[in-house]
Amino acid sequence: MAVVADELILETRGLSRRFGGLLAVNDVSLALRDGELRALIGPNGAGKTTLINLLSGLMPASGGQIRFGGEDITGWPAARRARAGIARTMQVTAICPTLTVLENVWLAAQRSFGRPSALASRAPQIGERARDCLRLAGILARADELAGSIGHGDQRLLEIAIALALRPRVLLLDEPTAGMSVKESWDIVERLREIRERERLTVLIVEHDMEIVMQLAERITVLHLGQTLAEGTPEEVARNADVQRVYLGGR
Amino acid sequence: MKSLVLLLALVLLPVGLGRFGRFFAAEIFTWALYAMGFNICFGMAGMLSFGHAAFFASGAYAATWSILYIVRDPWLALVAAMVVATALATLVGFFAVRVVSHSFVIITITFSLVLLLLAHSQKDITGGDDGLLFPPLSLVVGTGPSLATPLVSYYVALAVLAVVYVLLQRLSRSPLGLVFQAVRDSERRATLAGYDVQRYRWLAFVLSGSVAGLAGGVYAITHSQVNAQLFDITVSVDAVIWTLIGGAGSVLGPAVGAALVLAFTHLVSNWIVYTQIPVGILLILIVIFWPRGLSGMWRSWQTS
Amino acid sequence: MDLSTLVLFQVLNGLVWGLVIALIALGLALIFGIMEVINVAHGSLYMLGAVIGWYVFGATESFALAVLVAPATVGALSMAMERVVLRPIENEKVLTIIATTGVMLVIQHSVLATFGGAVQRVPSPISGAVRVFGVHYPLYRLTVAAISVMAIAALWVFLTRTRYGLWLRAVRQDGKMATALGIPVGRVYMLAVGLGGLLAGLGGVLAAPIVVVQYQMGFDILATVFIVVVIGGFGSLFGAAFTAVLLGVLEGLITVVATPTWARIASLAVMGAILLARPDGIFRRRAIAR
Repeated sequence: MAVVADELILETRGLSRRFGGLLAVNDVSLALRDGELRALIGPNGAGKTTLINLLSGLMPASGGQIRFGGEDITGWPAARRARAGIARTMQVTAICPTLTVLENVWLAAQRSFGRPSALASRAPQIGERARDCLRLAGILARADELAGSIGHGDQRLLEIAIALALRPRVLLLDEPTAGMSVKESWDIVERLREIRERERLTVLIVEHDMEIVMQLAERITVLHLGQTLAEGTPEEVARNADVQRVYLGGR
Repeated sequence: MKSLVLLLALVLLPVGLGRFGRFFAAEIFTWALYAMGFNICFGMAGMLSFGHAAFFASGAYAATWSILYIVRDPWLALVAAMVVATALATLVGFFAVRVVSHSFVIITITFSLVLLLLAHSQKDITGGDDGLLFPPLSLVVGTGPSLATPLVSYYVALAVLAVVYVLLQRLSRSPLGLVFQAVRDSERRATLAGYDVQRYRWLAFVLSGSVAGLAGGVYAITHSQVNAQLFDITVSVDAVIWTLIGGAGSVLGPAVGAALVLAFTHLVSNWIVYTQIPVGILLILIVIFWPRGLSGMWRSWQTS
Repeated sequence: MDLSTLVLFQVLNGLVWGLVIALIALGLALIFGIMEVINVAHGSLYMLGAVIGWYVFGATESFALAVLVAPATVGALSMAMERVVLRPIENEKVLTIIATTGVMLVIQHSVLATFGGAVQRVPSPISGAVRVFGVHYPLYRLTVAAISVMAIAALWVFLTRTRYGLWLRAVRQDGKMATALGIPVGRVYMLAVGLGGLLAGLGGVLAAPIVVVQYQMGFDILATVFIVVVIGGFGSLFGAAFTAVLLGVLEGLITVVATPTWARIASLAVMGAILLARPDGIFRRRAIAR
């Protein structure tokens, strides 16, 4: 799988993460091309969420390197990565419950307008951008409700809206459809498609639902016990003997 | 708007008050300012401090020293109060915001306690429990109305309170205010949205200490005296209690809480010598019968 | 007094004081560990123990009686506090701050109203000194140390060997599970708070002849005890006791070279530094109360 270096937006080289004696992520080298939609799959405990935590900066790496747009960001803290253009959603949603849905997104949207001022009022352009993101995520109707009072599914959509509001180059989605009904899940898939058409985004999505993965993904990386088991187009991965042995079609 | 009406009412109020009423109201304004400052740290940014007396008292002493050793100007005294309190908050805050919430509380208690011990031991510069006194100031150095007049103290305290209130209202609705509240609600979310949580906590703490110090400065110039008891933990606890009673969810809540408790204390003093007993009982009753406090009522102010 | 004697003397002082603080801190840690209550009234419970002890001793000339009556009374009062004030608001940390502040005000000012605000000096009930490691050391302080150690040991036995103790530990670990197991959680809460108050009261009556008795004496203790409990590792009983003794000895040592005030400041600074280095405390909470 030869990739041209200057097209790579996010890559890892020999990335690992150790917890005591356990290597949760073991020597993973991943390369995302600009604009690609990559799915990350693997059985439970394969290290998918850990990898996302490493990429987003919530966890420091035990070894290896992470490069973003050609720059080494391995030592960067999470907030800095978010500012630089790596956004992620959380599997267990992290939202501000006493703020409204709109305010949650506003928080991220105002980030790209420079340092938050203490005395200015909240600018209308930011509001427009925030609402736009809410519309893309499908929860504009809930804009003025308290984020703590909306349903679980809507909270996940809110996570997506917040991530979008950062104007990211790379979007890391950690199991966005977990715990959702089939209809809600496909709803999200449609939205993700629409979002990718609108914004030029590279997406790395951790997903268990193999139908969704096969539908959405351009390339798939399969993780097993912290290591890369296989990588390629959906067809290639589906044909891969190792994958079939270890991870038969998922749920 | 509601606030303008309130301000107008407060401006006109002294007409109906006697000397003591005006003096007492000035007291309330001073403590209300202190509580509002405390709430930047607590209600807005979500950090509970039991050491804000340190900033209030440092501000009061800085103002006093400025009057005694530099020039007898009340406005410079207020600036001195803010400068010193800000410096202290910057120093302490840098370390304090790096630790977990219960440890943060302890750091604030420890810091305040150290200052209290110093204030009592360094009697030659602080005057200890007897404190420091100075002749009442005039509004403009040497001339103008004297701050010994309750009416003058009233308007000075009200003016400072009003200005700070407007600024805090703007802050709570500003982008920065949003960041503070986000940090309070979810440190992780704020981080993932690209904000250095420690930096913003530090900033909130510094602002909070500043305003508390300013309140201390107002206290000094309106009382013409300060003493070491201003560093007591009771002063820190007061800020917490007033805020919790009046509601931490709005800018004005803590001020209302302070006003209510102080007014109640004064009212009760007509019949009972040991006023803190009924105050204590009141706190217990409020908690048992009205747990939401007044914060529910005042939340509507914040969203208007 | 030569240096080594002075050091020894101060270390002993620090040890004695540290043990007293340990008693009070254990009380606070018990209350916090079981109910997550930030007991702002804890210092006033200590004060109450001192005042009652002083009163009983003054009336009966019996130290033994004082040591029995004072903690028992404070313990009973604390149980009442739990039942009446804390029970309705168990899980709201914020409300417990207000509630216990209210209790503190009532206790403090009731004492003020009853006994006045003047500082009282309680005479040492046991006079004389004893040779300890070559130093003449006041017998009373040794008695205090002995009683403190016995009380801590008794607490340990209670928590590990009796049924109520077991229940208490169970509720500390997992309240819901405890209820499911049929443990009367309400009674356990009351017991824990009562025990916590008793320990504070005991600390008070023992400390009365050493410090001055005055209605505000609880404030200083309050801050110290809070610091000790958190640094010891919030909820860890062993941590609280250990840190208390550590603080006492540290302060004692520093008074060899500095005034008591500076010794306090220095030891507070050290505590603060420890906390910054280990924000969760020295001993994080163990699963089983020790």
